[in-house]
Amino acid sequence: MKTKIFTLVLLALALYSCNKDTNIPIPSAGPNSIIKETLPLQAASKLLMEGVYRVTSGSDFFGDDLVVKWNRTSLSLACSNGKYVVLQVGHLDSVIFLQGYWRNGYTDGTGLASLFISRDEGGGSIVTGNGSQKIIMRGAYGIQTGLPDQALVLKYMRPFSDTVKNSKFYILAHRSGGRTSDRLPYSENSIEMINYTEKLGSTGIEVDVRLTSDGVAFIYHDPDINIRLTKKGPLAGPIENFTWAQLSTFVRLIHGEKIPTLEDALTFVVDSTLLRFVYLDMKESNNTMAKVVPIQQRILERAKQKGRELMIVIGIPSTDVLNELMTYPDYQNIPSLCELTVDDARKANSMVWGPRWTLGTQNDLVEQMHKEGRLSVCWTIDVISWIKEYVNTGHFDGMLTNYPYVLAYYHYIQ
Amino acid sequence: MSKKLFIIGLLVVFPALAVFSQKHDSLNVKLNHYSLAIGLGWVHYINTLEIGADNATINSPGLSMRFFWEPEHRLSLGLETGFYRLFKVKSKTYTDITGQATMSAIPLLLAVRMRVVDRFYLSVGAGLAAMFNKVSGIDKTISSTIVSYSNYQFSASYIYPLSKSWQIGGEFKVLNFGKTADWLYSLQVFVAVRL
Repeated sequence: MKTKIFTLVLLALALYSCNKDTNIPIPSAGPNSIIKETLPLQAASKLLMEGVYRVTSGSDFFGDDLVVKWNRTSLSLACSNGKYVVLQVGHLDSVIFLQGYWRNGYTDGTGLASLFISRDEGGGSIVTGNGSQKIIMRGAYGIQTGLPDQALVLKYMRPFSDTVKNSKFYILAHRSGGRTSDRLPYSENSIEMINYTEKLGSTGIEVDVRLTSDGVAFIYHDPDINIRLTKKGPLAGPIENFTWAQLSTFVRLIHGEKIPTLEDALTFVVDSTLLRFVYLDMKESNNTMAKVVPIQQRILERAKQKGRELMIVIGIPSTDVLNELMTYPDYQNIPSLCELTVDDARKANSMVWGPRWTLGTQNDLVEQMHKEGRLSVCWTIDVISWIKEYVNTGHFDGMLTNYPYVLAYYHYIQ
Repeated sequence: MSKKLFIIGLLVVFPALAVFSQKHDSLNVKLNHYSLAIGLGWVHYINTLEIGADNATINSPGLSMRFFWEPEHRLSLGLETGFYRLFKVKSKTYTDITGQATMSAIPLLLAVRMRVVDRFYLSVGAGLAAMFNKVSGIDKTISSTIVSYSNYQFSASYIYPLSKSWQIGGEFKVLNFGKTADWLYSLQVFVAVRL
């Protein structure tokens, strides 16, 4: 009898585990948030807040230290253990208020975070822009939907090192900024995710490029329409079989966004973000290049006109794609990222050599690439200990990861 | 003497009768046979669409066929298949062109059926399904076939014997298609023949 009950419970658990949970909601302070009552900080004031902080209260949860860095719209805190904090910031008189949420990227953990900097603990000097080496952020964090009731105190330790300040290291986020499977609030390969990813510490993105049957380049990872990436709809089967009008009409990404065309996604990168690097991961090689290269050229020209420092490289993941690229007129002037050997990178005159991270740091080859004026970026590195190892011992110019906040921590802490 | 002859006569005649009766027994019961059933009825798709749900046609006719080995005990083992249309969705593009998309499925399931009480049966089955998707009206018509590897059904049926060979019945069935997380139920009448 006990065995039967145990079996039934096990079956029920197995069925329950099949529930599709696609999102961990971002906790919100709601209508009581003080941020809407505050004034925004000036750019000079913002820079004064950046640096490395010691966690004097809450270190068992966030680690002994963390990195504080502004992104385009908010202040991000990156921790060594996979947690990150995204904060909206404003000031009332000489007191600075910081409110937002934390999330553990490797688990379901999340919660509210609320901090302030009093006038005498750095608030006054930050607001006036006079500089301060004595910043103390005091406040609390909550667990899941609970109110912030766990003490959190951060004490400014030091600014970023010269190594960091002089570096153009690329923190590249996978699938336009984050994977759907990591239960972020936006779908992978969507414009909404491109808009969000800078909060995670990203300075560049990788997007997956495909072609519809009528020749429209769009971004989407899997070869088929499935309920992992899209809302349940009436279309199924290989996504590239369909025309753009069909996909636009019948398919939405898992959080409801439209699948973007490559052109729309790249235009958004130029016009609405500060991202510096876009890696076009070519998923198919059948005549894709002829459609993608003109888009790349147009967007690079647009970026140039706007004075944006932006690199858009066409990924070469296979010899098929390499061969297709090499049939393109003037292919040696097309910015590309070669995932194959260094010789292949030379053959295509790739701007970037991008080996798989599991091949090791390969510092000798990376240095050879540097001497030839090429960059080197490895992909796709997710394990915290390896990220730390590669940042500290590797010579790469950037890394592609699903956890950009971890990479951001180990980069900025140097 | 006559008594002895009578006893001997009985000893000869009775076995002879017994042997004769065995040879010509009219009760010829076949305890192990096969059956083939064909059903037709109504299919209702449990509408879990997140795109186009409001413009979906979710009721349609359906067809099923099954072949069972029916041994002398309560359990039968067999294969079942059928044709089920899950839905038809109509939608307009931003240029106001109306397109439609349909999804149909042909499952092939290994099924076990059990007689619970007289004439009343319960069945479960699991197996593969070919799923057919077609979009038309917008640009060219596109047809795709996908294979769903994890599908199952539960059903309850009532079977009424018309003769030794022929049966009719009704069946309520719930079907799940794992690949697309789609569910449907169907109500069908069927005719079965015992082979």
